[in-house]
Amino acid sequence: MNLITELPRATWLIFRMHLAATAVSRRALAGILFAAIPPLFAFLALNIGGDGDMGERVFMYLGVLVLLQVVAPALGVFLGIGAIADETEARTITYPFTRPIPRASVFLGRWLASLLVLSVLLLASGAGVAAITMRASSPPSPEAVQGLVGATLLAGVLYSLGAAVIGVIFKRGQVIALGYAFAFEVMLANIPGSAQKLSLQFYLRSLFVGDDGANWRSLEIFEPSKFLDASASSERLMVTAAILLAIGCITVTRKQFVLSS
Amino acid sequence: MKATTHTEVYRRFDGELRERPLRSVTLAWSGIRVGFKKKLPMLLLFLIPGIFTIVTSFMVQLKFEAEAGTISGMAGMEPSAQTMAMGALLSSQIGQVESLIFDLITNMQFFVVLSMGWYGSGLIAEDRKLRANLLYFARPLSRYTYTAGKLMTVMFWGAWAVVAPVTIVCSVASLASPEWSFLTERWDTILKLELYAVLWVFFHGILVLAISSLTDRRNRALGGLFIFYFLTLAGSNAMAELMSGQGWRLLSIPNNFKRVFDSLLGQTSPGIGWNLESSLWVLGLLTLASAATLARQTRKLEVGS
Amino acid sequence: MSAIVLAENLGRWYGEVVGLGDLSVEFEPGITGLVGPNGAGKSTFMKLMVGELRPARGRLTVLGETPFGNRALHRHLGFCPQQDALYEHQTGRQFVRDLLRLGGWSRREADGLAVRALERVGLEDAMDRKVNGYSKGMRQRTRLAQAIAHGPKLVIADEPLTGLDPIARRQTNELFRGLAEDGCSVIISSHVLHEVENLTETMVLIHRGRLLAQGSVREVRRLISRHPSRVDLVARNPRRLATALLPLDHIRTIKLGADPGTLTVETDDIAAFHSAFAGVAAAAGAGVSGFKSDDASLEAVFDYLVG
Repeated sequence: MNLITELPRATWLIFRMHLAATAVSRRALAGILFAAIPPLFAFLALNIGGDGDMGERVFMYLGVLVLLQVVAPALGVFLGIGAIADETEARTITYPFTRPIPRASVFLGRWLASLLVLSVLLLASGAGVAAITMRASSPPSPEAVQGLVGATLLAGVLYSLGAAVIGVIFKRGQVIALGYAFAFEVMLANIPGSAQKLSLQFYLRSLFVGDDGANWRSLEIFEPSKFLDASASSERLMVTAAILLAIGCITVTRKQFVLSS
Repeated sequence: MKATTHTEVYRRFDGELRERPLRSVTLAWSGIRVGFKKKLPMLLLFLIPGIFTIVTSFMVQLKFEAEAGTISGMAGMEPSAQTMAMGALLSSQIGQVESLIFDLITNMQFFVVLSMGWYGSGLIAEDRKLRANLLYFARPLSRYTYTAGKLMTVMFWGAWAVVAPVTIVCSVASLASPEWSFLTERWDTILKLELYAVLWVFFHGILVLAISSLTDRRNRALGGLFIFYFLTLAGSNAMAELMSGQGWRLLSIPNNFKRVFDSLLGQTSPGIGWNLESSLWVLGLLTLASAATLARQTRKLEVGS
Repeated sequence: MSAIVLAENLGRWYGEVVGLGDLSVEFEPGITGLVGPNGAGKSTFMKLMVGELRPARGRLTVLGETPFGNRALHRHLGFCPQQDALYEHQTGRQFVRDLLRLGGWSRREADGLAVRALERVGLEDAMDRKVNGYSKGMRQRTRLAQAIAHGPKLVIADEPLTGLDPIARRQTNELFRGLAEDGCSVIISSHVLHEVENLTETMVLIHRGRLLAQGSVREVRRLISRHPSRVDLVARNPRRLATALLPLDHIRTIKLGADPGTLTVETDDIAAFHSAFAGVAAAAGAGVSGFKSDDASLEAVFDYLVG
């Protein structure tokens, strides 16, 4: 069987093999608690001590500050990092690697299983915040909800993929992925100037700021910024994802994973 | 054959376990030596704070030169009224040494938390995973000595990243100030800055260890630390903005440390509108909770062995 | 007969640590024991054979193919790794079946083959239980089952007898013999010489990443027997014991030890010494209270071979 037909078949089998285990893993269970926090904050902001007349404001603040900037990267890193790293840590990688399948299918199948779980969590979290704020007066616009939830899902794809690739390359990848997501990204994305364009957050923010950047201006705590239009941003994010996928597949195909006995 | 039983090893030890506090130093030293072998965190730990320290030291030097009107290019020239005015302006732009040091700690805090997490999150978690407690507690070592040893290890790395840079910048300030005035006239500020740095390292060290003791995987402990740290930071800022209530900012560790710093150095920062006691309560409760967690978890390790 | 595994000047390092030095060896079809003390390079060699690692130098072919990333070769290989690792969330049956499915079998075919393999290793009663509840021996047998389930031409098993009780050991040996009878070649590693002796005549001895000896067990034994065996004794009257032992043909040297009552005997025929010793010692009335011979251990054999 050639690589073109074998890769999707093996990827699907690996995906199925690990989906259930990923969905009930401790990471995913912790992820449920973590994903519940933005809706909880939204509920508190609108119902306890807050002003019920600020649905859109609550949605944007929690959506950007908590969901997009913390929850999506953190869950992306924690669920994505395990794609290959979990197999090497558990020393089970020998089994798929001594089967007649492309090695890249192990990376792809396991990452896709993580991505599905991650997407469900992020979607539930985003939809939860949206549902709570939509019921308040002056709710967020459907475009803003779509844009922000879409950006969050895309953030999940990119952060989990980036973490998965880091997990393939480095032995202790999680700390590097966390360092990137929470130290470099935070620094790059929030300092004025062109350095922002080196962060994923810049392109993710571009997806929901609106044509005139009105959604961003409503977040007074951030400096005003000039963003790309949504389609150019999503294009660049897609290209980044494709590059990461290629790096992951090539590395896992060529790398020797030395396991301790 | 005469029947005998050999139950000595199963009997409870009724003797007295003698404490030897210096054993914790041995334990810490072994952890530190292991840490020195880790190249990447070492780079992170030294490079990033190193860069920040050099930049801050340069700013401090520049500030004192500006105050004295002896910035490079002006050296050897009699300071004119214009250069003095420029120097004063530059000095005021740079700000106080205390603020520069606070900015130094704030700017590198995520890297330092990452480094301390990297070194510290495995200290107890890995012992649990490898069941090293069986070895540790089979020796005359109490859980307090064990915890103290681990805490010293993680604080050592924190000290490298925080206390050492503060000391260096204070030294540069002392050397650059006219007639060592920063040292002779503001020694209390230096002491306060060092105290703040030590408090910062101690608090983060005990937090890292407490989270490490809750799991048997280094990665999970590191993840837990980050979730706790960043979620409280981002959540408190978002909720404070939304609900116009400063109380929400108390949820964030960096905000509380900022409040402590302001009080210690007699400063007023924008956006810090709550009293010192609240921050001390929060930090105190978190320290207490961390210590209680450590006590409970290490007791399990001790009993388990 | 063509070689199933051919290594020429094979080398593999882990940083500065030598896994395999400069190994040149051929494996013929049948059962071959790969023997060596801990750290000899057995696992490294096996990981190279199954394509988990790439050689740093030299050439290695398995069934005529280069192993690393070779999907065609993996169809004909079965590997039972040494590490006690399984997918803990699965049952034994799911584990073997899912790995078979990766080899291209349909779900039904894979399930049938999985059940047959698990029955063959004696896990028919436990196959529908989660593997995280298995004993060490059951986990070992599950690993073996996944290695043989797809009917490979070559099974490579890294320390497959470790952790098994004597009955399971015998069953596993029978399994390997059965595989060989079916035309499947088997390479098993072990650091216990007699484990391999029970299973095969053919062995390859490696030490510190280099080939030490190869051939039939009898040939290697003959090679070893040229070296004297050493026995440490403790007796109430060592001089009298030495005098009684000296006339035996196979005794090469007798040395009285520095500690009172100790003596060391070197013999060319350890088996003859064992059978003669009790009678000689009793007749001499030397009051023997200690007898220690390290020479049965593999380490001692290697000590002899490496001089």
